[in-house]
Amino acid sequence: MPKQLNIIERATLARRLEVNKRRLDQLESLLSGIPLRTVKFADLAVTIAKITGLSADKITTGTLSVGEQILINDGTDDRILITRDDIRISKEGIDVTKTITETNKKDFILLSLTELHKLRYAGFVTSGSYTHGLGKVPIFFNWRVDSATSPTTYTANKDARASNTAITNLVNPSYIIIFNEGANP
Amino acid sequence: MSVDDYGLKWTDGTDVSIATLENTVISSKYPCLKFSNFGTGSITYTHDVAGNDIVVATHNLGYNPQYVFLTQWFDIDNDVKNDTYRHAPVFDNLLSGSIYFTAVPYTTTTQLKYTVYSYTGSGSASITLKYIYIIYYNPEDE
Repeated sequence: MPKQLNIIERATLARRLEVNKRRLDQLESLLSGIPLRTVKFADLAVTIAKITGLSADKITTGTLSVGEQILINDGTDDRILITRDDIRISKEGIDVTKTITETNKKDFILLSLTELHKLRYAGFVTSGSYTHGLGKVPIFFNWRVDSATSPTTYTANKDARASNTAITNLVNPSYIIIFNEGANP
Repeated sequence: MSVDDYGLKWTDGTDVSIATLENTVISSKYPCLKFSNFGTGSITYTHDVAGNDIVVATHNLGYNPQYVFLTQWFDIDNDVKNDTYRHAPVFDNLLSGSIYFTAVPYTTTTQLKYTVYSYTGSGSASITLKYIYIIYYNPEDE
């Protein structure tokens, strides 16, 4: 005859069985897709995650890294695509993942390309020239102004001249805008 | 959430949640002036000879687009080519008007073209002027 458990041993065994049952119930819920309340992972690898809501407000240090891409949908179309090479935004109603061609490129903004003007300098100049130091002839605009502190009139100055180092022949005072885009023809 | 809740906003360092349009470097809410064509080239012409008209670029946009055109030019006063770049059209002439230089880009619905003509009175020299151009998509026509 096996030895009978005493009352203390039976109670301990019952508690252990109850704990194990709760663990099994949690695992069954996880496998059957029933949402769990709070789960903590020291390290987690997920092949495909379908997340309906994500709170990332506790990320205050470190880096959020994405290996491939982030795709943002506006409810109808995918509109913003962030990849390791580019940030691409499409016009409303246009799928951002479409192949870009010469015909449809007008529907996209691609931050990796020099298709938008990037401002190099904008401000008042009170001498006859401005040295930009770009090493190329930049796209620029220049206006004659009646004051460098409180101007009331801006008149296009078509006599301004650009080289790959400076804009010269400026009137004094004037307002100048220089973009990073340009070329050495 | 409405469609207005989606988008990308990039600021100059200002807190993105409170940044105004002036603090915004780029926003998917506002269209940008985008390049259709961007390039360089040159035109060679002869003084006192008409017909210096070339095709700079074919854009095929179907409308007359906005553009920027910077060009080297001929300095009539000093009777010499100037290697700096000015916004075209460029007109340079002596006070009498009989000695002059004109450099005029213009568009059609399919092309950006450029025409140069000068009368210097100092002989039929051949001149080459380099240029830079950008053709923009017109948001109103797209």
